Amino acid sequence: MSTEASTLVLGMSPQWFAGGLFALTYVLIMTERVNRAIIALLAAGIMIFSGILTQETAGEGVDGNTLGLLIGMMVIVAITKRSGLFQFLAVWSAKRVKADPWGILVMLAIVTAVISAFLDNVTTVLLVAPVTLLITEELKVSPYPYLFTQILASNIGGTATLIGDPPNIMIGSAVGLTFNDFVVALAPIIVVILFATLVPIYFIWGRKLHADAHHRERVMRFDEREALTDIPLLRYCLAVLAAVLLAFVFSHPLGLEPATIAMFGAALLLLLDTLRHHPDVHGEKVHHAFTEVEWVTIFFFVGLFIVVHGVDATGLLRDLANWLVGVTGGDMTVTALAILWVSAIASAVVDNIPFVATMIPLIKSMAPAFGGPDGLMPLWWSLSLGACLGGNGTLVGASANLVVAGIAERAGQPIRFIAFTLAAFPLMLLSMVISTVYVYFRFL
Amino acid sequence: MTARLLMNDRPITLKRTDRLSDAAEIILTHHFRNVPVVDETGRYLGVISSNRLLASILPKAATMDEGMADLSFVKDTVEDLRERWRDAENLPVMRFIDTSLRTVGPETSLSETLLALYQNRTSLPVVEEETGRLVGIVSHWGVGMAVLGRNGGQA
Repeated sequence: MSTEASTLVLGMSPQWFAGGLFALTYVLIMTERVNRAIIALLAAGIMIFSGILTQETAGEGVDGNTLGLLIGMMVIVAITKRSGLFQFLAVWSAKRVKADPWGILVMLAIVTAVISAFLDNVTTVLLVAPVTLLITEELKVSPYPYLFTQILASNIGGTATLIGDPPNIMIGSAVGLTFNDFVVALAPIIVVILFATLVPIYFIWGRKLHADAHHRERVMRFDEREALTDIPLLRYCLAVLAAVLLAFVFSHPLGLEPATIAMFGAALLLLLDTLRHHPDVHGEKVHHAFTEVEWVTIFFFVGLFIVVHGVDATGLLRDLANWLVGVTGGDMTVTALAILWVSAIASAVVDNIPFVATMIPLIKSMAPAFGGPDGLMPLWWSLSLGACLGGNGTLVGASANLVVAGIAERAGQPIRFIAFTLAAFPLMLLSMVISTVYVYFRFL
Repeated sequence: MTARLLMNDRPITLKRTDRLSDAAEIILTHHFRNVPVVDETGRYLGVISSNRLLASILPKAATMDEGMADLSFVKDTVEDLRERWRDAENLPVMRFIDTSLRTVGPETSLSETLLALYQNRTSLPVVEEETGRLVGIVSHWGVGMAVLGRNGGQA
């Protein structure tokens, strides 16, 4: 921090000013009247103008590892999706179950969850949902249960790995957790939660899904190999994706940070892709790949990191952490389960990125009460499970939810907020009950 | 010279209660690219284009905004297309109406009318600004006839 200053800012103590600015930022983000990146960057600027941070100390708050990992993976996905790989997987999985409607729902949920574990959730649903609409149209069944399940599956699958969901990227980067740490700690329970979620969905919709042989035959006539539109590109993508994942797995012995791996993979794939083309179009190819990066999200992160760093620099989060430890009586079980459930409920209604950005320094401040940084591990897993799975609670809980709702709307099958919440919120609570049992027995 | 002098003032139209099959009949019989749709008072509502007819026999997942860009793996037969058409032909034209087409008024200048026709890439509805009524349609063929001095210079 520039100073845990006693100087007043606009007649307020630095803590009050930073806390007020943070609260105002949060409210403005929630109202969605102004783009969230603009709000975060303006608030970051005010945090510097007020003297709470200098430009240098603000820069220290920006987590380059999170940004690098996000940008690198976005570039890799932007190139890979042109190969038709994801359509191939969706059609292939539908045919593996002989185009049985319930079987397809399960398979597409698994495909969505697996892809979401390695790519961002929004990209995953953008690629899988249109194929889902096509398949359900051919089967003459309602796409609603399929799209509903894919929303849940994308958020559940994204929880399983370091790179699956932004909260995990932020937690992993801030705490120094590796790809393997996330897989070992979270993947087992994610598999359980995914299948547990499918059980109520079967009783609500699945058992009523039927398609006659004629329409199933139309799906069986799909030739998934034809979905692979660029085989040479596919080979490069698979090779780079495999190398990147291997590097994530061995990042600890290799001494590499996730951002380095993702950015190097992105650069390598850009090189392999552009070299196939005439030098005249290299610039255009690279430009196109970079335009697919979600810069709004990236700049939102930049602004948010600075705002939260400013609040942290005033000591407000440390005081809040001490208060929370006092409330929970310093009991790890109570604290972990409180973080799990509060994260879930909060993430169901507000953006989980600012929530996690705030919780990270807050939890770090609890280290002295729980025997140092190593004692905080149950809290990090609780935060990850709560923030990622909580997004399933309502239609506004995660970006992927809104993206699927938009696709459904354009296809004439709108997903309404209330109807979605009535079905999804209890399923989110189910995942929290399972997570509670898991966190309790595995980490406490 | 204005749009009024170039337009066909007795265009074939569809009513809002017509079905997609009515639109197909007109489009296929007259080789039109689009047909205007009007309400009971003659107020312009939009057009049904031949492209919208095509969309009705394609999977919706491909024709919707940001839908699938590639259908090479779908192996539909002509019979599959006919089945889709049987599902769509009795739907009201209003489900397929295109309201994005540019229109001009009857007193719009000649150059502006031709520019609008060029930008539309298909026939141009001529609509009275005050009443919203469709009073004619300017087609590429009508303009050609007028420029070549045939049909008395009117489309």
